Amino acid sequence: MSDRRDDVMRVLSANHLKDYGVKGPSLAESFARRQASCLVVGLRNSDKSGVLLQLLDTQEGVNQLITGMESAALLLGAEKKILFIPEYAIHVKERIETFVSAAGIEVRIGLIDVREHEDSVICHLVTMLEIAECLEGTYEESIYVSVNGGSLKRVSPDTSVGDLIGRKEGKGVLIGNRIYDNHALEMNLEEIELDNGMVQILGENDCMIRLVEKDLLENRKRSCGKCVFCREGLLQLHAMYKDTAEGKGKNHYPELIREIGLAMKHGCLCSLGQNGAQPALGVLEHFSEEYMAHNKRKKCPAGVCFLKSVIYIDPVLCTGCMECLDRCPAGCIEGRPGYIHMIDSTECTGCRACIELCESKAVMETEGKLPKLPERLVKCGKFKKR
Amino acid sequence: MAVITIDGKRMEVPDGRNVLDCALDAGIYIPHLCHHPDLKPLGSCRMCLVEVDGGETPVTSCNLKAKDGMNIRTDSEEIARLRMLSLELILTGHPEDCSTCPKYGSCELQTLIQYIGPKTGRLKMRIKGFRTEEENPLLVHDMNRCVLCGRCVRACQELRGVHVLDYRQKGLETYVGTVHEKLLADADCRFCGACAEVCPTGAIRDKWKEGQDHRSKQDRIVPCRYGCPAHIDIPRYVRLAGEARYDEAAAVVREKAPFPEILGHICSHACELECKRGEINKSVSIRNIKRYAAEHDTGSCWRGKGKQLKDSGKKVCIVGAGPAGLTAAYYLRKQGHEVTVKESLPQVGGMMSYGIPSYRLPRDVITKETALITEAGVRIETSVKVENPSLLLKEYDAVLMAVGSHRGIRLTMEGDHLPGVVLNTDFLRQVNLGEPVDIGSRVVVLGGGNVAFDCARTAKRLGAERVLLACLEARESMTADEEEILQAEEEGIGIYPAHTFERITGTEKVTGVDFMKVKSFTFDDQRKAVIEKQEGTELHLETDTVIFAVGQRPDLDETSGLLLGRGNCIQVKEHSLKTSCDGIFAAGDAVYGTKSVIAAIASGREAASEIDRYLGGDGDISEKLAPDESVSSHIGSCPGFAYRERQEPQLLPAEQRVDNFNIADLGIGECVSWETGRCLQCDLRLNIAQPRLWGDYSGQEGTDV
Repeated sequence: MSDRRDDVMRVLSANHLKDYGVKGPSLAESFARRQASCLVVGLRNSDKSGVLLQLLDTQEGVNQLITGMESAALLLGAEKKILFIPEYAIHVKERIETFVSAAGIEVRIGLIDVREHEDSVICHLVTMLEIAECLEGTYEESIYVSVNGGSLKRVSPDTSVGDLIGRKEGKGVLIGNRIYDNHALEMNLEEIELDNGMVQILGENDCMIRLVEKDLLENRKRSCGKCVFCREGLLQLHAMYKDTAEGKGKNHYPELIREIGLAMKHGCLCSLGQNGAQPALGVLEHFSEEYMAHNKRKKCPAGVCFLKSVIYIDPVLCTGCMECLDRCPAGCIEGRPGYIHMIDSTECTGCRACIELCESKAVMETEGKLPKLPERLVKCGKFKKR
Repeated sequence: MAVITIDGKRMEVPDGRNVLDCALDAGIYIPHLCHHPDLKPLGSCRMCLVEVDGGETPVTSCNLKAKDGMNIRTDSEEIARLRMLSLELILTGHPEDCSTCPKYGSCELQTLIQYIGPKTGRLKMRIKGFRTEEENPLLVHDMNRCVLCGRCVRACQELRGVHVLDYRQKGLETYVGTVHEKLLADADCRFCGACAEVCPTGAIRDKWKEGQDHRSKQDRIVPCRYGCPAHIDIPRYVRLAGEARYDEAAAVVREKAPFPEILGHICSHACELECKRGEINKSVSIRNIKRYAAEHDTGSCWRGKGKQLKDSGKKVCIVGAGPAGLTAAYYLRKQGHEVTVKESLPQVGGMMSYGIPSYRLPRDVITKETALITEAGVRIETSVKVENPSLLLKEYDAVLMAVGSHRGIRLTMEGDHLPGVVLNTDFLRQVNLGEPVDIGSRVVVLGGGNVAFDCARTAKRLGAERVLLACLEARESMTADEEEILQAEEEGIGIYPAHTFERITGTEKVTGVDFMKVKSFTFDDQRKAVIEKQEGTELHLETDTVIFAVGQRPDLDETSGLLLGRGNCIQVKEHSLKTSCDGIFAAGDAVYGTKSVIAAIASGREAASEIDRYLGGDGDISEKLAPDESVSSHIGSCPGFAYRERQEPQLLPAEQRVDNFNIADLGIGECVSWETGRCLQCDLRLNIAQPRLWGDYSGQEGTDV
């Protein structure tokens, strides 16, 4: 047994393997100094994309995970092995559970409770696969990355972001939890903390404020609520970004966002809180003009916010199919089968569900003047423009 | 050990100890909220930030382990800014109005605000909008006031091992509660109160019963011990009995009262009325646990142990060998005094022997337990009537009058002196002396207290064919214990509550009693009874004997030379048991009227202490008999705990008990372990460390730099 342990240690040491995304000491070094009764493996708590779970799509990947976890547990003297799968990827658990539990690995759903696992060693899932590769002798230093949520690629760490995404236009990129402007295209992947394997290209039509507002809300929903800075900080940041997106931003927001964001970085126990404010900070750093346009001038350069667009149904194109009427969440569409449907624009919330579902493409949106529309129920085909 | 420096103060601390506790112990205050000395550090509130030499950013001192050579600063501009931000963030979801909070003045969050300073108002405030949960017994949950410090969760999970409370989420708000918002009882809460104890705010708090405000916090937390007149350490002996350590359990009782087995049979158990378990379903059957422990006590724990001071050369005479007199005698002897007890009746025990019938308290139990008093070196003279206590002072340095209340009260009414009318005390005494009593075949008892039932049930056992009991009080306000009333009914005794006694009929002897129904029965400002009768409800009951059981008084008059007061009781000085005559003290029923054996014991202890001081001693009669052990704070989970039913004692069927004076109540037997398991162990809460607040440190700052 101890021979095997020495072998594994030697192989890890020879490959200079580090835990996923860690810049510090190598795995061999930190494992040599530490014993733990429990090995915990999972994605980062801050990982909302889950693209790295694609590695478990193949049987080979699952086998590598098991081999990696068994080897790491052996080095640590850990009797217990737990694999955490995020709640949004519950299907992964269902698929692999029988297989991994046969190897003595417990599968749990949810965030990794770092307090509960204070005495455990927590490693990234990718690292486990890399350990297996080290043992197979196939390991090569590389980075797994998905562009815009597409299938995972394996690239060399010195690949530039620009080469990776294959073009240099667009206004910025979201790499992991960080927002960068186009300067990031010149950077190599190894210079960037890619904590979830995801690179997302941000186009001119993406409003940074909306993007961050949604991201913060997502983080709030996922937070376990134990750390004050994560729980309350995210709430404040979200409220400020929401205000800003709605043109209600206040002068002191940028400073307060920075203060809370920086406090969260050091004041939270897991990556969800530590990285949770990164996009909020990134926008202030790289897109401060866009931020200030919202805050000061109530302008959205991407043309997403402050639109007073009206949604209406074209009386010529409408077939009276009742689809939009049945599916409108606000219940603001009036009509009968075979009659031209009408939207009550005072009730309309602008969710655009009707636009997406209309097969006749009869639901329109305009910021300009409305065409003449029926004022009462009119049979399809009978409406007279004039 | 590690040598660390905090704010320039060098100190030697255990290696690896958390720096926050090191600082607090050394008199250096670091603000903290989620930290509690008895709980694992959580590092969530960020109040206890410090800077360590060589560290980039401030770190929480609660989970910073002391290492040799560490140099720590507890304050800096950055620390102050981060603390302020954290406090502000915590306050965004907390109600802004402190003054309406029941925790006002004892809230840890409030002291933190005072220490850190007022918030700036730059953050978004919100109302969490949780409903205050008041459905649970003993505890209120107000999650709007919760700051999510997680102390209660850790107390419930780690400290107690009960696992009822946890972080939960509702919408985007985190709160602390039970799974599926179950009521605590349904979530298998053990109602230990640790959550309320550690809660820094008013989020989880106790529901104190009305009228408990004047009590100390300790007495509110452990009300059984407070309710017991002798303050017996009830949770301790219940726990020991639960561990089947009956010797130790009995020794705990003996630390305060010399008659555990007697009390186990007949104690009026004020403790059970106070027992918090009563708020959940029914109180713990404390008396029966005591009885079981006392019956299984081998004496290994206390026999030959305890206090015995060397002879003082002082002599004390105690008049009356009832529970008060014997208790005082026992403790005075232990203080080194020479004690003589003079008893007018042939047997010791007072009302325990001549009042309480033997079917409730077997006489061998009295013999066994009172023998200990003589074993301790007390001289007891029986059948000696003391007429004038002051004469005793010629021979003794102090005298204690513990003569009880042995003179029954005869209500003045027509026929009250007819042959066939007897008094409760006389009747019971005669029966217990074994003297023949002719009560005929029909008996009416007038009165609704425990003594009335003793008379009625005794009469039944003497062979009376028809025994009736009538009293002024309505059924629900009769002063007798519920079990007495129920058992009497089972034995075929007819009960007529809410009846006035109009007259006793007969010319040569008693033939019957006239009653009327009571419409209302109240007391006026002068505590005089006001009775309104219901017209046309005249009732006549034929009888051969009428027993007055409407109270009793000390059998004393002015020839005793002592000042007597209300109800013929011996007058004593305020907060003292000194009588009008120097050197003469009084205790028990003779001072305060008829109460209970445990009250008499408590009074006897008080008298012993006071007389000891009078004789030059220190008056300290306390003793430790059972080992003083630390108890585990981990009580573990117990499914269905709140629904565990109280075990009632096994009782002989009525037909097997009405024709004899054998003990009818057989105790709870082997159910004792179930019953001890029902105890909430409220006392464990007193072992939880108290928070250390800023105020405790003011005035210490800047010491020893």
